[in-house]
Amino acid sequence: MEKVLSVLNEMERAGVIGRYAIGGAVGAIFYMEPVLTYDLDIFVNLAADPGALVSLTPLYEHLRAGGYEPKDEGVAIEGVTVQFLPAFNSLTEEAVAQAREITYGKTPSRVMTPEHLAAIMLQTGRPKDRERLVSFMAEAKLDRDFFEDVLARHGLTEKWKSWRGME
Amino acid sequence: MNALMTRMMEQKDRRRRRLAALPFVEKVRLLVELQAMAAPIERLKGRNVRVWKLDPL
Repeated sequence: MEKVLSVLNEMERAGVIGRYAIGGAVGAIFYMEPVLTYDLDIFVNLAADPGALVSLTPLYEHLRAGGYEPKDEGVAIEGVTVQFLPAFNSLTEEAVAQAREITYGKTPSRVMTPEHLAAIMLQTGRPKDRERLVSFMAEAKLDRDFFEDVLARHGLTEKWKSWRGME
Repeated sequence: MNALMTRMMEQKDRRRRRLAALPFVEKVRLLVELQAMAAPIERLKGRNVRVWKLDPL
């Protein structure tokens, strides 16, 4: 895992990717008990001209040159299946921009804030996100004011009220 | 809810909070144990899953 983060940091330094942050289930695990996942979800800002299509091709070409072959939806990097997800909307862009700095072993990295992770689970809205969000809200320590601010700014307040009503 | 159920729920809640408070590195190690335990079942369901290989810290 530490080697994976080193590879990501190197890719960021080299400009292959923009700023990145750990999200998804592994991001959630930073704040809650371990839950099963086989993918390390990495949200990335990919450099693109305004209006141009964002492409993961240069990223995959760089990894392939380093001996890491894409397979299915991910890339096995140093024994860990990594799924790269371009920051695809204002919420994920903000989550990457405001991710907190962490250190894994001796390697620096970033994890999305718990408030952004919860908002992304809500926005994505699959049954497994709903299930995970219930546990996450019980175990992770969220700044409720900041969370509500994130929800309001990204048009998720009504969905949050609806989900809470279903608990 | 009877007393036994209440006690079980409380124990489960305490366990969750204890696990949530572990260092991230330790949680990732536990995640890989979970992956190894669940992989045979996932593969029976047709999912092509790969258990991570962690480097020693």
